[in-house]
Amino acid sequence: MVRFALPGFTNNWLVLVKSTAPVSVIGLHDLVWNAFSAGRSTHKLFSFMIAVLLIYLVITGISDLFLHWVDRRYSSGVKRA
Amino acid sequence: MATEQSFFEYLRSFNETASPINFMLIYDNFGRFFEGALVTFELTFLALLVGGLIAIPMAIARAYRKPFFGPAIRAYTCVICGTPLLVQVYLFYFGLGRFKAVRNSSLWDPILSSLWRCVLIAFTLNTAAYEAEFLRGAIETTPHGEVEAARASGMTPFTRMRLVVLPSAFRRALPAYSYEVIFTLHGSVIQAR
Repeated sequence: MVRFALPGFTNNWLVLVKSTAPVSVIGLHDLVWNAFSAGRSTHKLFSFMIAVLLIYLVITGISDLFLHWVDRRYSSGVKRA
Repeated sequence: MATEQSFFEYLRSFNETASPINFMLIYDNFGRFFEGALVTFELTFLALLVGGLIAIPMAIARAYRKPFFGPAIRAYTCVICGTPLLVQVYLFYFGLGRFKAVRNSSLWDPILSSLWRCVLIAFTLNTAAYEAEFLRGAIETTPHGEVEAARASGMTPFTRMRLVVLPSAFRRALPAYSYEVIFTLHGSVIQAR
């Protein structure tokens, strides 16, 4: 069952991680909000936003690798088409 | 006439005092909602149109593993799909404007100085990456028999792509595409700030 559910779960997880970014719009002090206010006050918004971009990339990259590993474990002994 | 007027006033006062939602206020500002919806639709439609046009060659380059373009597009898709749309929009609008070189370039005045166009570019690049990814999957799962039949009837590679591979791939990509349309429409809330 896990084997069939994993691709959907992976997709859902990645979408959910990325959709936490708009909470900064209503003022929750998340990654984007902090970077935005820091960038505003130092006038180096581009550098801060690049950093945020990279942090999100690392988060999604690591979770993608991990979920791939889980997927491989659960599909051991299954013939790939 | 007098009773009609008083009924309308009663409705207004009821909405302002007793009703949890002031429907009359919504009714009075209906024009603004309409304008806003128009901007949303315009943005979604244009982003999907231009993004789709960019996505087709990218998907073909990835599906057929073109030497340089394939990995480059893979990296591009990875970055776009791995980061939130909001951050991309911020990077485009607030980030690029900080550079003197960008401000002085010929692109600044007509394109990058307007918020709407920056959001449109960010959305287009975003949707192009997602569409390229699922279109690549659709092209790669084209039944071999279809391609073989097209080859046997003497089609050139271009005609084969145009008449056989792409239409068949579009059919398989349609469910994912409808999800992408909705995703882009939802994503357009980001332009609010």
